[in-house]
Amino acid sequence: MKLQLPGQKNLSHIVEVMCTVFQVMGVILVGSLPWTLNNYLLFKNSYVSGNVYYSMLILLFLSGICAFCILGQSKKILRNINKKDPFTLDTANRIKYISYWCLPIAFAYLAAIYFIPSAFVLLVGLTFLFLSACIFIIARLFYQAVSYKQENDLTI
Amino acid sequence: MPIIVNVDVMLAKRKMSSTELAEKIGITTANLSILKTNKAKAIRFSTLEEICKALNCQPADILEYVPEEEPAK
Repeated sequence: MKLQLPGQKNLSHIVEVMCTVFQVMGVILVGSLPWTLNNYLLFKNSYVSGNVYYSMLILLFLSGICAFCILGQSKKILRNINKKDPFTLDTANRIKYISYWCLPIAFAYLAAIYFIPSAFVLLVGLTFLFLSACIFIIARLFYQAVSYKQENDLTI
Repeated sequence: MPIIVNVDVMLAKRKMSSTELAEKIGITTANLSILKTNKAKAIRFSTLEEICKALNCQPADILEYVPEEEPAK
């Protein structure tokens, strides 16, 4: 049974395209990270020690890679939604992978408090930890939805 | 599953084709195939009623309980 959400067609298509745009932007940004970060710090006129600079670099690099993977998974989930078949095992697995990809970001930011003592870093770390837990719960819900759908599809 | 659907047996007895039955009860041949191959997880009373009406039989003629063999300990 195909699922049609009202008004879903345009929005999910736009978000799918946005995911691709963000992925391309992310690759450019992560690729030019040492240069971008240097210029950003110069622009902000703030001096940071080499230790902090390198930890920021590693942190942003790791976040960039994880965000790239999250966007990739989101794009595939949106593609399933656009195919009007969202309640599949594939979607549930991809949501679970997104929750896993949030964890390295959370732990990296929480560990980075050592080098960059800032409330913002702590906030990002805790937010991603919370987000990971919420997304994991949504993934479990999707697994249940898939089993209900399979049962419904096999009820004649 | 220990519940066996014997629609094909009744179809043979009534000399009716699957397509004909599917048309009569208003389900797709794909769904009838799921039923015949015992892949169905459940059957609606309304579908069962339609099948019984079309094949002029009782639910017991279509459904059979065969206990599953327990694995040897």
